[in-house]
Amino acid sequence: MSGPRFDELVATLRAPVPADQGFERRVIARIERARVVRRRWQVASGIATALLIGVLARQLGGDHATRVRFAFDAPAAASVTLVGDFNDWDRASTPLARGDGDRWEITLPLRSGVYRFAYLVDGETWAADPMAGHAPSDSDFGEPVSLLAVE
Amino acid sequence: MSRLSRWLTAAGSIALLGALLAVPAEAQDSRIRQRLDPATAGRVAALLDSARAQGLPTEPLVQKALEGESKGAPSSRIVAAVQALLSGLGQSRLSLGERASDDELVAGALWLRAGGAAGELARLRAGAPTRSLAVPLVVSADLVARGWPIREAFADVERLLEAGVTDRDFLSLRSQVDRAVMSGESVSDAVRREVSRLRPERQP
Repeated sequence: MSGPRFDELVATLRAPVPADQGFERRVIARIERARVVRRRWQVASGIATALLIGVLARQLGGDHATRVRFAFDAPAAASVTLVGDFNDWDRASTPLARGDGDRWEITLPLRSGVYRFAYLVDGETWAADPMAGHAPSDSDFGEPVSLLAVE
Repeated sequence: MSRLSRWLTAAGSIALLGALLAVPAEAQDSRIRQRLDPATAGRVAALLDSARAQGLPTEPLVQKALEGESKGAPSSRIVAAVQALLSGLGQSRLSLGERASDDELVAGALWLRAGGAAGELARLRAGAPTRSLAVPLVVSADLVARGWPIREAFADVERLLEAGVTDRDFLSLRSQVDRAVMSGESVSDAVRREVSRLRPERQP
């Protein structure tokens, strides 16, 4: 490197540079924008999380359930099943157990709501629960239906 | 967190939320398709779509169809029963208002099926705008089905609601009537006595 070139370089570096008057303002504005975006993300994440928790709670049955005991007297029956709104009217999925004597029983956790149900005796005879309400729409399918309101 | 991962998280959350919200409708249709013959399932699915479009609950309609299948009812009868319930739910909402819960709509449809009038539901709602009418309507529809005269039932339920009688009181009323009927009393007499007990100042 020759002497004059070095001097020129030093002179160039020492020369005053015109100051960017808006630089500081732009940096601060950008930091502020980043803060606002982050805050919006936090709010959006909070809302999304709350929605997800609410939906999951509903899906997983977070609602309060009451244990409801069903009992039916059928001394001559070989089997009794409970069929209704709570088991998609499945004829076989909810069998009652024979308790003491002639009584068939089962206890189910049910959420608050209005339910229609009936007993199916020996897989062929439909019977209403004598201790439950009577549905006024039995005529739909010509078989007795009981009504249950769970608080 | 990088911008890309933020977007992926947001997109994933929205997709998961959508999937969770979509499950009930899919599940309902799959139950119908599995249990009913294709023609009946198609007609019931159309009624479910109609209910969804009107913002009415669809699960009671699914249960009605499954009840018919479980009892071996013919297709025409299943569709007619679901159609009748859809109509009842629609009338029930017109009377009880847009904010009525699903249980109230079902109970209102039961009340109408028992012979009650839509105007009576509207009057009960006007008298009790904030409390749920589900239990009072279910209890009264049951007792009407067993012999309580419908007009008397409406007047008594209206008075009981005015008096602030609770759901538990209505359920207790039904239990007391059951006991009285088992010992030989008529439903009407037993209800009158229980209504008087709950609301001693009842007017004739």
